[in-house]
Amino acid sequence: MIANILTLLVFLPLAGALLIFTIPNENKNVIRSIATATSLVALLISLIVWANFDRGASGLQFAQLVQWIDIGFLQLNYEIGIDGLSMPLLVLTTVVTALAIFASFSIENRVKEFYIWTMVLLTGMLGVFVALDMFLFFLFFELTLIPMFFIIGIWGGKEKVYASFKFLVYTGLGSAVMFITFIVMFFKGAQASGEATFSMIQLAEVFANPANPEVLTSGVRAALFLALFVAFAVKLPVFPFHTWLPNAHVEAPTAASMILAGVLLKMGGYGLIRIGVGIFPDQATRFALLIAILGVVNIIYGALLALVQTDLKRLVAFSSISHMGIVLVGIASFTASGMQGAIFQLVSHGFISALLFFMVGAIYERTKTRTISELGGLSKSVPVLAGFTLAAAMASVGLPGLSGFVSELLAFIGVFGASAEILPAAKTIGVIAGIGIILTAAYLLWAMQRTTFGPMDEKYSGLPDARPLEYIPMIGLLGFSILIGVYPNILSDVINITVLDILSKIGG
Amino acid sequence: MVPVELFLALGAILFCIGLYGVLTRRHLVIVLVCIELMLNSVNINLIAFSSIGPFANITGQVFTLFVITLAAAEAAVGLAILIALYRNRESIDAIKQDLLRW
Amino acid sequence: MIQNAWLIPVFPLIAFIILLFFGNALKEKSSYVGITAMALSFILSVIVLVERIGGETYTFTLNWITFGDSTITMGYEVTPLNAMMLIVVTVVSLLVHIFSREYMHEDKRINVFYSYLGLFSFSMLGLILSPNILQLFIFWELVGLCSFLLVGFWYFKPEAAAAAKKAFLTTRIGDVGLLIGLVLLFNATGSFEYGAIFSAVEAGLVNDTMVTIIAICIFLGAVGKSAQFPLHVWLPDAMEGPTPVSALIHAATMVAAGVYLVGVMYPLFLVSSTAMTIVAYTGAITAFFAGTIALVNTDIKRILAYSTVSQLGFMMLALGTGGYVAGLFHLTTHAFFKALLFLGAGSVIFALHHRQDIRKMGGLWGRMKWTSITFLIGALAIAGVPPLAGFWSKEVILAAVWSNGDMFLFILAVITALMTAFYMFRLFFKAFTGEFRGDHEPHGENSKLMTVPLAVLAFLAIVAGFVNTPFGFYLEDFLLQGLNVGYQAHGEMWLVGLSIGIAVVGIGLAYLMYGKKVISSEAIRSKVPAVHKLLLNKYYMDELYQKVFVQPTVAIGKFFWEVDKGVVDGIVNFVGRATRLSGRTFAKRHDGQLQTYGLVTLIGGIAVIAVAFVLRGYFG
Repeated sequence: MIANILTLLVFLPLAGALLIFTIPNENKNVIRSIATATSLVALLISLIVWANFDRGASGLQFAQLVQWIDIGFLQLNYEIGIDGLSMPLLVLTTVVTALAIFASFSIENRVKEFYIWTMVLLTGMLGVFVALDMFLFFLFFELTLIPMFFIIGIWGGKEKVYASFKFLVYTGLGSAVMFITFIVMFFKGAQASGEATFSMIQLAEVFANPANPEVLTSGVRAALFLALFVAFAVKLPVFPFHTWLPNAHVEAPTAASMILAGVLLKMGGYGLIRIGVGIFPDQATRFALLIAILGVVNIIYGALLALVQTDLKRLVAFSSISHMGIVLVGIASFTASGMQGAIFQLVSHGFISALLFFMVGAIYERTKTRTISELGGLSKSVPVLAGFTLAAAMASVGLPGLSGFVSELLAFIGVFGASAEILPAAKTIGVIAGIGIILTAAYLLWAMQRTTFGPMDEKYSGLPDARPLEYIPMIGLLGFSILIGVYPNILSDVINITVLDILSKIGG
Repeated sequence: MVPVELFLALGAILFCIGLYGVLTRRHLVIVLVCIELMLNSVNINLIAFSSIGPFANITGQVFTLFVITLAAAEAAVGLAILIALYRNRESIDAIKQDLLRW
Repeated sequence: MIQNAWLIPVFPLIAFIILLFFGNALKEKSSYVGITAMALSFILSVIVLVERIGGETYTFTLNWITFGDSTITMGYEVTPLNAMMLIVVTVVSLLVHIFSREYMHEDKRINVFYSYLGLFSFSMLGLILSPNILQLFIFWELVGLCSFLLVGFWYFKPEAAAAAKKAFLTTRIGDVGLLIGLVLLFNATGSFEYGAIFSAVEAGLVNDTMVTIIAICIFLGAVGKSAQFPLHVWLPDAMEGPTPVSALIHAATMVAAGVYLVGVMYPLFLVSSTAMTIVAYTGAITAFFAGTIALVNTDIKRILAYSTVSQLGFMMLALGTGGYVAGLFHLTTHAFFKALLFLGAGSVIFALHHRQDIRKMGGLWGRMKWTSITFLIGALAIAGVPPLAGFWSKEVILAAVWSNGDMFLFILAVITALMTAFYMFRLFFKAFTGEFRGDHEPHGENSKLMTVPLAVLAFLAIVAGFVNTPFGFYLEDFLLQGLNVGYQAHGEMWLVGLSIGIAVVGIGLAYLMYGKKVISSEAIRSKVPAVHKLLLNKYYMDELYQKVFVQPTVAIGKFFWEVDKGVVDGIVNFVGRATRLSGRTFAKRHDGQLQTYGLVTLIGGIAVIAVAFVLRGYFG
């Protein structure tokens, strides 16, 4: 069972979706329980994988290779496996999705479709993190797009149609760029080695030691890397490709926002490290400065914009943009700590932003407003929710003891310790990123001052506080954040060897 | 022997006259008549090649017969459509038949 | 027992967790949970100190995170400085816990208050026990969080909410500097452990410029936390929190953490004379600057707050001029007498139904005996009257500054000491002597729960100085074990005389102006109205920051928001709209005219054939 456990994990939600398909629409609770059960089983399986993951081994684990499509020159394989980079993200996906499902019980219309789409989405996300064949990767990448499009478009807020189309077209465009790049890589790889393959591992070897080096000139490599970067930059998102995100987040239902911020954005960062850095280590280091600059621009720009938002959910959305900048800065340092900081940030932000979106959703459900100036004194009307909101904000600020701090610390150690050949002006970049941290504290605390603190509006006096079911996502997400924050070794011993593997390709 | 080029020229001239009529006349009956003209120009080509072409054989004549039959059928169906059209829209002016626009 | 020192912070943590889950059920009984936990911590701290005096430094670590070849550890350590600080924090914290039982008993959220106090005590004790600077930073941030929570405890008051945010943000600025300093230090020395850092620095592995930069970055953190100029603005506002909190966090412990940090990293500072000078000047300027504001303020807590800022500046000045022991000694004595003064102020405020304006006080001496006497002891201690604690510590500071040789610093220090004596007794005479000027008679002396902590602190304010007098430098010997921080200056006789003189002159002046009223303060004020206004408005620092930092940042944010909506997203929407528009435009050409279609098809066909012919070369 352990041998094919990843396949089981990936396709289990699809089976769940099929099962839901057979249930009549009226049995909402049955549908909800099936979805919950499926996601919990997926969570359990991912934890089993986590437990059986060999922390001391480098390379891929739980790998599986099946020939899938064979049309002469074109062989597409079902090739999956995980390493220290994908392992934490796999668990992140199952955790956030399971908890998001708990947050989605308030959805009453078209319940069946909602959970079918959520299950398909889960399969897509898990598939992205295990796929080792670029064609398969692309397939799963796209598989996340359609469900999210429908979830935002059907269950979203006022401007859901605009937001969902923007999401679909914008990130779809990114995927198109990615696909074209994959195809070009496929052909260039075939020309360079005489062997046609979509396998990331083989392509990485081909691009590292091509039999015909004249095919892969540095210009070609640079163009391919930059195209990949743009493709993943849309997803991450990186300035100036970020504008779909605030719309999508503001309009999406709570559960979708949680998944969107918690997992979907991570696919961009994951792809950048796995394919961008993994196959083009030389180009990645060559463009380190560009990546780092875009990273600090993200940090500062996102923070400044978050500072002036009037809508709490949009503020959180911009904070996501700001925090994803840390991932870029961490990667660009090309040091063990920076790279680990980037991965830590992916995981940590997954938990924290999901929690923040959940809190905003819970507050909105009660007060029917997200406008910051109309909230206030929530500590009095809903003390538990306000407490968790404050905790989430503190986690986002990067308070020690919570996971955000560890990732920031590692990224900082990385960027200040980056070698001058790879990343010139590293210290300047680090200091500017430090200013971003102050700004992060500024906008979040300002938001907290005006929502949880302050005098209570009388109309909020009778609001119900957290329901028992709401405690599950709140405690779950905050718990993971605390766990990583207090004892980061739990994550770093999984990541470390993979990070060293990646770095060994650089200058090695 | 009349050279084949003269037949082809005649066909081409007839085809162009027909085409001109199809593209410019507003009365759909005239358009239909012009289509017949174009078909006949094709017939002339077929006949010419069938008798004095480099691979002269009977096929061209057979095709001509097909085309004539088809033209007759087409005229019948076309006129029927035109009558139906006139009953519905009280006009067989080509410009006013724009139901297929965006 | 010393290996169980980790339990000291754990007791309050347990109290915090208990109160977090069962606080609502316990309500007022929550205080007993907190008090018990602190009492246990205090007892253990005493045991640890006693063991440490005769023993060795104890360190325990475990792996926290691994990246590449580096491993960061966490753990705890008992050094002489730690052991001393443990006592200071647990004593003050315990007394504040007891005091708050009465002070906060009317508040419905007393359980929350005690849970926050527990969390704070945990964080502060954890900070002290940290064996490496990263762990110190972690707890450093946590005490900042607790400060935020406790300043904003009465969150429904807009001022409290704003003050909490301001406190967190301002210290955060310094914290980022500290974080950058730590990271630079780690990259330069490969470790966060104190020992490894110092040996690397002393071995010259880090170049001098780097050491200076690191030291300044670290000092930036201390500036934020210890409310030094120019990041001092948060501390007076933090007085919006409950008074026991002000006593514990914003007088005795947390704000002293900055001084403690510089003390812990002292060997690093010693390497860089530039950094030392910066520390000394920042301290001196802060001490003077805050002292002048305290001269005119009328809010009892804010006067004490500015006095705290000023005294913290004094400690920094001592450290910056080589007085390692002097600075830390003053930290200890100050913790006791300032906590005493704040709790005394709390007692007054409580009795006066939460009125804090000293112009509305007066004549409390007869009405609140214990409070008055203990407050007087505190005031005498801070003014530097022998043989109270403040005298001994202030005297070694002056000695350190004098031996450093910078006359400017020395004069600033002397003036500040004079001002301290003056404004403290201005406060004392205005609040406790004369006629009662308020509109609400105080309800008399408070219960034992409040006066006993005052009495204990008053006792400590008297005797705490005896650990380090010219008759026996016990503290110095203890703190300097295994540490090389250079020569520690001791006062000469004339300095002792000067100290006493300063105190007497200051107190005398205050007596003449506010006790006997032979010198009119009005007259002085009207002579220099501009200065008075400047001081009353705290040098317009808040307004300045608002104009220079806050408003421009928000304006830039607004500008970028417009850019984002207009340009960045504008381009995206433009592309979308252009696509749609072009579709619509070309759709219009599909007008249903079959003849047009036919014509276009014809032209297109001819064009294709023509192009093909041209490409194939049929036209030559």
